Parts: sequence; structure tokens; C-alpha cells
Amino acid sequence: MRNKKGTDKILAIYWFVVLTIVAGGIFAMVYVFYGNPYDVRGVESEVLAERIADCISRQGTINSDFFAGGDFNQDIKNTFSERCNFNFNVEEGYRETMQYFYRVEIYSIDNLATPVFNFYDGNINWESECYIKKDNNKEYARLAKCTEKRFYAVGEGNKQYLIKILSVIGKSEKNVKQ
Amino acid sequence: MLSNRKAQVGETITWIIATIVLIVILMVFIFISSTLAKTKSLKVNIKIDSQDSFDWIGSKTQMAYSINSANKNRIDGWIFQSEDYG
Repeated sequence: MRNKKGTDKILAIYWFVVLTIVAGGIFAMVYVFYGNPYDVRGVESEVLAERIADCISRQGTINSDFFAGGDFNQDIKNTFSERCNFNFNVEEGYRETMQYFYRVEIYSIDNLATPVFNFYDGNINWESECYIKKDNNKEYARLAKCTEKRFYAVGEGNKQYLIKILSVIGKSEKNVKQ
Repeated sequence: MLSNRKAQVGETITWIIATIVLIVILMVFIFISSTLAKTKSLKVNIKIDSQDSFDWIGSKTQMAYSINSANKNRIDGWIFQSEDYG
């Protein structure tokens, strides 16, 4: 009888140990899964590229603001972001380095090697990260996310232009586990 | 006395193995959680009325073709060369 009481005590302690192990395991699973942030930079760069495309061309025609005196309007280079209502402000803690970059290149159908008009805005240092070949490596996950979009639009006098947009999003601190 | 001790040893081994199995199962689940956590990245998949994916940028090109469709093959070839930065 005394022996049975001792066994019951040991079993009770054992069950508490098992309970703790299971609870700890569940906690670890939840912590590991929710501890990794969602990487939304790919979506962000796609959305930025599409917004830029919307600003350049609607219904197949390049916005008339892009042309002045029979040529491309050079003012666009400095005012494009403002005209498109782009706001590159970011939350506290990321303000020292601008987290966005875009480059627009417009090619004439006659010469697809050299753009006839191009402009960019944002932190140009991000651009070089686009050209690094990315493997499924943790180190590479911290590189900026880039999206390239190409489309065709018609300019003044039905002249044919090809437009290439490169949009880049940094913000690796917020989107990738450090 | 000896048979009683043998029964106790057998029972203890059962519990130890059960505990090890439990820990191994938990470790497997933690590993699966960490693997799933690494795939937490959102992809763009715009669908309209449950139809196939809609190419917003591609629609601009199609509209431009309705205005001037000269050099179509050359334009399509150039667009097709678009880089995928993953």
C-alpha cells in the first residue's frame, strides 16, 4: 500500500513533466512560425511598378505631360514622383535610408539599345542588388526585392515607344528575420 | 520480489520510450513550423471574377496595339525578354 502511494507520486510528477514538455513544444512551434515576418516586398515592388506604369500610360497612350515642344519634357525627371503622388515616407527607424527606388527607361522602336528618355528617383544604392543572382540562401533573402515591367505605348503622332520600369524595395530589416 | 522488480523495470522502460517518442514528435513539428515560417512571402495573384490571372501591365500593351500595331513581333519579343528578379 505504501509502495503504491510512492508510485502514484512519481507518476504525478512525470505527468507534469510531460505536460511541460508538450506546452513548451507548442510554445516553440508558435514562436518559430510567428517570429518570422511576412515578406511583402515582392508585392510592394509589383504594386509600385504598376502605379508607375499607370502614371506613364493610360489606355495605350503616353501621358501628354511627357512631351513638350515635340520632344520629351525634361521637367518630368524631377517632378514625376510628385505628379504621381508617390509618398516614399517610411515609419520611424527607417527614415535615415530611403527604402525605395525606381528607374524608368523609354525606348524608341527604332533603337532598343539606348533609351531616348530615362529618369529615376529614390535610393540608387538599392539598384545594384537587383543584379546579384539570388540563391535560396538566408544571406540573399536580405537583398532588395526588384520587379521589372515592360510594356508598349504610343506617343505623340502615334510614334511607338517601349517602356521599361524597374522598381526596388529595401526594407529587409522589417521583412526578413535578422 | 525479483518478478516484481522485473515488472517495474519493464514499465519504466515503456515510459522512457514513450517520453522519447513524444519529444521526437515535438521536434518534428517544430522543424515543420520553422520550414513553413521561411516560406512566408506574399505573391501577387490578381484575379478578376475568379477568372485566370489578370495581367494589368499587359493590358496597356494590348490597348496600344489597338492604336498602332506596327512592329508587333519586335515589340512582343522585347517585352518577353523582361528580367525576372525573383
